[in-house]
Amino acid sequence: MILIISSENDTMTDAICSWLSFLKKSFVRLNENQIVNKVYFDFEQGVFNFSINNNDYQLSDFKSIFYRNGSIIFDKYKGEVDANLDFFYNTEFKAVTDFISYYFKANGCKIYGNFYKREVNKLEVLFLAKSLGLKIPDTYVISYLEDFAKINISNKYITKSLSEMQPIFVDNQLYLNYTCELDLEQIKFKNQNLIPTLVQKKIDRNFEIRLFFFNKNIWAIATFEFSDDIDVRNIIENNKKYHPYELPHEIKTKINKMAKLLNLNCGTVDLIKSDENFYFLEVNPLGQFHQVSYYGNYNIEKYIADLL
Amino acid sequence: MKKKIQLKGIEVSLQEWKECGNVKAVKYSSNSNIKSDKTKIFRSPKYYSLLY
Repeated sequence: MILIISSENDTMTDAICSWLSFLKKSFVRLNENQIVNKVYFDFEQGVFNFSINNNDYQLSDFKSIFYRNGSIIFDKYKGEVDANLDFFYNTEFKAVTDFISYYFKANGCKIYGNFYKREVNKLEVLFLAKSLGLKIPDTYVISYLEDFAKINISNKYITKSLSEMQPIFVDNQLYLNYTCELDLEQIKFKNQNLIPTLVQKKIDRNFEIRLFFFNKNIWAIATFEFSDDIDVRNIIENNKKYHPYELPHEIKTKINKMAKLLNLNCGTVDLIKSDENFYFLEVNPLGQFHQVSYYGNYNIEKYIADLL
Repeated sequence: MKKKIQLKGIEVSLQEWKECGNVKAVKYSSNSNIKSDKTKIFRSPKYYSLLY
């Protein structure tokens, strides 16, 4: 049987499940809104059972795992619990989750997706990309405003978060810290001491490339934006056009090498094509690849369903 | 220009928080019973990875 771990409304997982149904492969999809409500492990007898929404399974039932995103969530206790105890209980749950992950590996399951590594450090990735010979935009981390004097301020620069974006809800409206161009005139109104801030030279793009890598395969699409916005996520769909894109072999080799060194089984990578150069921007282990599959007509979901 | 949000302490960061125009309706997942009230899970129709 196949176990799929995903969030509830992940469109790519929906498509993979459709193919699995068509291929008559039995699978269990564990969404974050489905909870593990019972665990029974007997190490003496080698019995490792757990229940998802009151349906009983043995860990050994699962021969193939696809981790898309989300996590295994347990049925938590009812009633008020002291914060210290709550923390302790969560670490106990995590110990069980970690064991389940270990068991699948030890039991020889085919495991796809980044079950064991769900995030990367942006700076580490940029450092690695550069060391592998990929071009990256000129990159700085600055925490003191005066240090801007050390970089060529005649260029244009962008800033984005070092870690993940931080969504903020106000009055039922969502605010996000998108990648944005730095206004060097405005920053003088900022505090002299900044939190460490990622600053990169703005690259003039012909188009942006999003690729999805999975099991040493790489699929890519070019995204053409008809907007001045820097962050493609902030551009409405009507102002974008997509086209399948075949990357040079050299770039593919470097991406695969990077994935191996980062211990990533799959993920999305964003690149900028600027004249003859490909600039590496970032890798996202849980990145969405629906667009890549859909606009590239690659049918990646079928490829994954066949593998499982 | 998208609406920016004014945040206390923003002067020590170069980041800015702008209204997200791509989320037409903020959809909460149905797992409110298993997540604390402080954690809100939502997804945009634009294929964001899970934000929380």
